[in-house]
Amino acid sequence: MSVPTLTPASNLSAIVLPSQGNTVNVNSAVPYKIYSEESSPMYSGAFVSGAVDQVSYVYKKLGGDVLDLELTEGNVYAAYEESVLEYSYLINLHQATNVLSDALGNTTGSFDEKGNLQPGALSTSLDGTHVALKYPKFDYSMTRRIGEGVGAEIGLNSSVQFSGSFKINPGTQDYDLQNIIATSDEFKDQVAGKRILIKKVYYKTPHAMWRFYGYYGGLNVVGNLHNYGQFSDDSTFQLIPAWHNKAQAMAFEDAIYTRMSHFSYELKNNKIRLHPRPYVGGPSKMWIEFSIPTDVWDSNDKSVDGVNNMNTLPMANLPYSNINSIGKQWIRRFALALCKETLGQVRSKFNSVPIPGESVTLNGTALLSEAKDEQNKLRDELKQTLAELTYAKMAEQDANLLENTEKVLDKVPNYIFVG
Amino acid sequence: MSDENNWDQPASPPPPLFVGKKEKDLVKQVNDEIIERVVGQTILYFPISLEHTNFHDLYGEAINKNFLNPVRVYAMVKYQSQTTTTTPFGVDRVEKISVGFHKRRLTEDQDLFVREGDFIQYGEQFYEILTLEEPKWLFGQVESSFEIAAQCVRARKGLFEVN
Repeated sequence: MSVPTLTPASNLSAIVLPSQGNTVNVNSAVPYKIYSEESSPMYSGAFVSGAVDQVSYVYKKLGGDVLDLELTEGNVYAAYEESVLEYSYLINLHQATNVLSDALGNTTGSFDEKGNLQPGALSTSLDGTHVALKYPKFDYSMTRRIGEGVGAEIGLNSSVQFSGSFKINPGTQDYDLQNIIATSDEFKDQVAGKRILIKKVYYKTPHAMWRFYGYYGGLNVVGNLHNYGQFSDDSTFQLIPAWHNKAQAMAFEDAIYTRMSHFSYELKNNKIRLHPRPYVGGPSKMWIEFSIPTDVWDSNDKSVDGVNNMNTLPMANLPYSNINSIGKQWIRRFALALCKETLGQVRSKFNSVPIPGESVTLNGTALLSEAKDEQNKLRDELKQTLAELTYAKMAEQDANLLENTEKVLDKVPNYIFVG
Repeated sequence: MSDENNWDQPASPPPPLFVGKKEKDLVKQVNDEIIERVVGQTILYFPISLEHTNFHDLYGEAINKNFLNPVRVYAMVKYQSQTTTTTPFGVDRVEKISVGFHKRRLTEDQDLFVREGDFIQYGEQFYEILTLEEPKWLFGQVESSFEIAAQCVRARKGLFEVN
């Protein structure tokens, strides 16, 4: 059907989408100019061509060759840019899910208002590169970090544990440990107002005395044997497995450290209360082991300033040229839905438009509804596909594949080797 | 009394909040499209030329009417009625139509102004414009009258002829 020509042409104030776009109009029409401005690091001539082609696509799909579409080609270019950015956003979200746990603590980046990666102190090594396009090594940095924390808690790794002592006075049960440590010459600089974390409280007696008054009389040994551990007041021995012996040893040691200490304590806020009340002839000094927890961000480790969540991942907008045909088609369809939404907005401002002798109801509301529905479907489609393609999911799929392959092979008769 | 609370009329009125130029233009565009592409009723408008018509000095009637070049106009034409009366002199049939013109299309694009007394041709028949009115204001804005409704009656044979 040919388009009737308005004669004389009504160009005075008509806004009609042309059947074809024009490359020279693209850059001035798009809001962000991320891919269309030649000075932009993300400039792509292919983007400009794609945006121009989108005009013809929208024109045909919305029936522009039959009736007017009250859109400008600029609306289409803007929709196309938004569509590319939306695609980039969803893909980056997906990749963030994939790599965040491995990238934690890595170099982060600085971005301009368009989402382009900027050169800077933290992003120098990433300047000009796109981590969103890279296949990362699996570093398990989050798991390792947690392990480090657990290790530090028990005195491993780079954690710093302190030990010190304080005098106890007969009759005095309560001692303000925080105050004692914080005011001591040795620790006041390290503590510097921070709280201390008590890990262990103990006292010491001379080692020789312990042996002398030790377990089961302590002075006896096994017959004429005097190897390690053979302190006993008996001469008949039952053999037991090594693990049992080990467990016994641990229980024995535990008993010495706890049950035999005679003293116990409780901590109330900053104060330690000793039980029983210290007496003359008892220990004169108590030892403590403690650490000084630091702020979790206070560290000489540069990774503290690195990636900490999705926001600090150095992911820029996807380069247009790296979007494959799957993505390009999604972008076209999404841009069409965006154009439909814009057209719906235009046509729904007035529910009813008067014409001579009548009034006409425009289809703006229907267009808006369809457009929103199409956009949601496209987003959901992409999200669902990506959700099936996370690294974790793919590992699961591979495992299933192998398992099922084994099931198939189980059904295959084994050949008898006949030589 | 302080002058601070005195209201001064602005030099130019503020633009309407809801219906401005863009909205009016959209209405015109939709009207043009519907009237010309969707409905597609066309008439020929014959503007009578006062300068070239020899009319009676006293009664103002002209037996032969001269007109300027006819203009094709898209409009919304509605058939109104047809009445037939029988008199001793014979049968008299009166046929009426109404024509809705899109005012902005006429005045801005075609430089045409509708007048009472002009003639139109719709199909094979000629009609004389009897009365005009502008019944619609666009969204109630008095300066945005956009329709001209013409009540027309079929011209009697001999009243208007195109040679």
